[in-house]
Amino acid sequence: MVKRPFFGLAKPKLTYENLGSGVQPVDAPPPARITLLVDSPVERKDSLVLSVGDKIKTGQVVSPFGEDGPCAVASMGGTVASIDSWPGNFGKKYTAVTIEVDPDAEKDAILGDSGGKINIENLGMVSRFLPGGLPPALFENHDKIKTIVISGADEDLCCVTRQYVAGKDSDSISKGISVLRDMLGVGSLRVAMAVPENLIQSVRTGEFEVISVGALYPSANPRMLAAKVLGSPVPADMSCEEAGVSVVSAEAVAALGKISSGSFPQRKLVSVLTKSGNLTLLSVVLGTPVGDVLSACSETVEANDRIVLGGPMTGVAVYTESHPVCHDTDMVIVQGKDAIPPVYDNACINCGECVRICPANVQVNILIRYLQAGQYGDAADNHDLFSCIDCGLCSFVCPAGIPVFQYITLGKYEFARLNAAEAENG
Amino acid sequence: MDSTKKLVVSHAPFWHDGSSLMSRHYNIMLAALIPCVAGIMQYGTPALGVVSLSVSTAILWELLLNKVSGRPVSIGDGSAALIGMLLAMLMPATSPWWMVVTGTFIAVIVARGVFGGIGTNPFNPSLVSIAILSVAWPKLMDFNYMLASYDMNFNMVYPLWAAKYFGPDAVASFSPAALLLGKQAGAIGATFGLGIIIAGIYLVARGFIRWEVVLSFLAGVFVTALVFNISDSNAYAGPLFHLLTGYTLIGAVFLATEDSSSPVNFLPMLIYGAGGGVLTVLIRNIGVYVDGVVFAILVMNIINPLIDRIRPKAMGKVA
Repeated sequence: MVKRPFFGLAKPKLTYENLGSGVQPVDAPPPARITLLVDSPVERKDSLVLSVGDKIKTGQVVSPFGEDGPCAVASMGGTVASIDSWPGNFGKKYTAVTIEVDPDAEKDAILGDSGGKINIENLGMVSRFLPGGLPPALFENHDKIKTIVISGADEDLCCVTRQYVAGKDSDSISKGISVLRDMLGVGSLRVAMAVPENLIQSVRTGEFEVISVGALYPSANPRMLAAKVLGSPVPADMSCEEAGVSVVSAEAVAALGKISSGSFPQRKLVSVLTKSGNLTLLSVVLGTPVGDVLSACSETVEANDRIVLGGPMTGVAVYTESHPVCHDTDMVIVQGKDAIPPVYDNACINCGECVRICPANVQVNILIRYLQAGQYGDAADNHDLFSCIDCGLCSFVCPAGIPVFQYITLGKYEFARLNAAEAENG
Repeated sequence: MDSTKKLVVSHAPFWHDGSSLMSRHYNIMLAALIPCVAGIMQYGTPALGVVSLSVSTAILWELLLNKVSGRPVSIGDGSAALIGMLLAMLMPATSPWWMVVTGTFIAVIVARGVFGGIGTNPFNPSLVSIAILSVAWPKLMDFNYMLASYDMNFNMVYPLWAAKYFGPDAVASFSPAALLLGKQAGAIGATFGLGIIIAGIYLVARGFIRWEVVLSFLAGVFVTALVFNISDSNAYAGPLFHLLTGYTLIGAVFLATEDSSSPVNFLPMLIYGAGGGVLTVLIRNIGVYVDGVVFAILVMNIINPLIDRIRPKAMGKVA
């Protein structure tokens, strides 16, 4: 963990991890079970079309609610062992389909009947298993996209997943770019690749622009990259995609390329940071319980430790080792119980550390007062709530230990919820 | 979901830079000890008594407030102790005990507690207290009167008072070096200029106070005093004299920089500091008070929220 320097006049600098030249991903052993999270709650178990004991093929589209309902794609085939409700963050509910893996399971045709061709219609489904993940706003706004930024720079600290793919898998990335060009149907689609400075040499140029990403966090944040590519920041009330630019993980683009050449991407790369600070790059079957991933790194988790999917600044802590590795899980961190910094419900002391470190010039010291008071409308309208790029630096430096980033996330969620309720009720 | 191991779940980020209110306040107190100990060595046991009583009663008032308001006990963060310490440093060494206790009551309860505790005070609590004490008991805050029993090896007249009523000639015997080394009458922690400067450099380097406020405050005092001095050098003392006497240095380092009542943006910090410096000399030279630091900073505290609106536009803001 990076600590405040003794001389604290200048703001603390957090730098991204640089991929060492010798790093090779290690294949984690295939799991005994995988869990697929389907993006819909279990309303009534008897209405499910899938039941325990059903055989699943490798690569099969699993739709527990019927063919047109939300679905997931099985990275390995086997037998359905359980179907449960699975709580997510902010009241979100998933349906967890756990599959007892059978290594000899039959292989399904990629993407069912579409013959492996990816188009806008099945992109939503592809994105549910595409290693690296696609921004959901991409298919909602696919007709507005003029620029695609392939991010070969990891968004969070300590992570090397995307850098590895960007440096090693140029062929698949090229193919993936053609898929994106065909799919988005824009002849003049501008494609840029964002990579850390040390990787510029190893990226093949010609097909796309290459943008160098600074070593200082959060320069690889999607909104920062979009601002760099567009030459001006994306308006605060718009998503990047609405402004015509989408930032896509290099791993996802490479996976699109692999699918187009007929192979099914079963595994994804995950950077694992253990309690002792060892960083390992693992190749993991999608849906593997995170506990299995940690065992593959010989890490043991004890009570009151913390498991984080994602990086130290923006990841999501999970409450069980059974949580599956999802398509967008670039990193897994384990923190020992002694390494977990406490948070407090202090009032802001107005020291200004957050304001000085905020990359988006948000007046966090004022914003947090409105958020703590639950005045989300004021926070959004007058205090730049939506200029926040979700980097988490404000919480990182807060001497009062206020969970500023959590208040901001809650504020954005509540504001959207209130707006939706208002629209519905007139 | 078969795992029975309980894991800690919380929101990102999962790292913290390790800073805390406790280390912030204790470091400021550590730095304040330099001028404070110098004052205690100069004025002896009465000064030690005032400092001890002030720090301890400030903590007790805070504890009482915690208990009465049913909030978690917050005396551990050191903010109440710091208020008490700074208050003592602004008082004469011979202040009566009841004035110290009243002072900490005003600072901790009236100037901060009623607004909601740490971080919510619009004014610097120690300064509110000193302002009320000097208006309520002007004689007991008069350094000439209070320190009359002391006989040191230097002129024991309060320099700012002498300069105000008898002109710069009356304080010609104070050399800047002597003033810097604390050879002047004044409050317990305000006279040892060199010590305050060292404390200030330490705190700025550690990032616990902002150099913008400190330097602009001193620059404001210097420039304004210089202008007065040039306009009539027989009536107004020079800028160096103003920098090294009264509450100027302690004001710049410990009082104007108080977190809650000072701005956080770059330009506002400069305006806030410089405004405080200018007002200090205006009050000293043409106002009724001998020292202007207290009211100058309090006035700047009032306009702090207003000037802190001068700020860079947030990313992606169109209007």
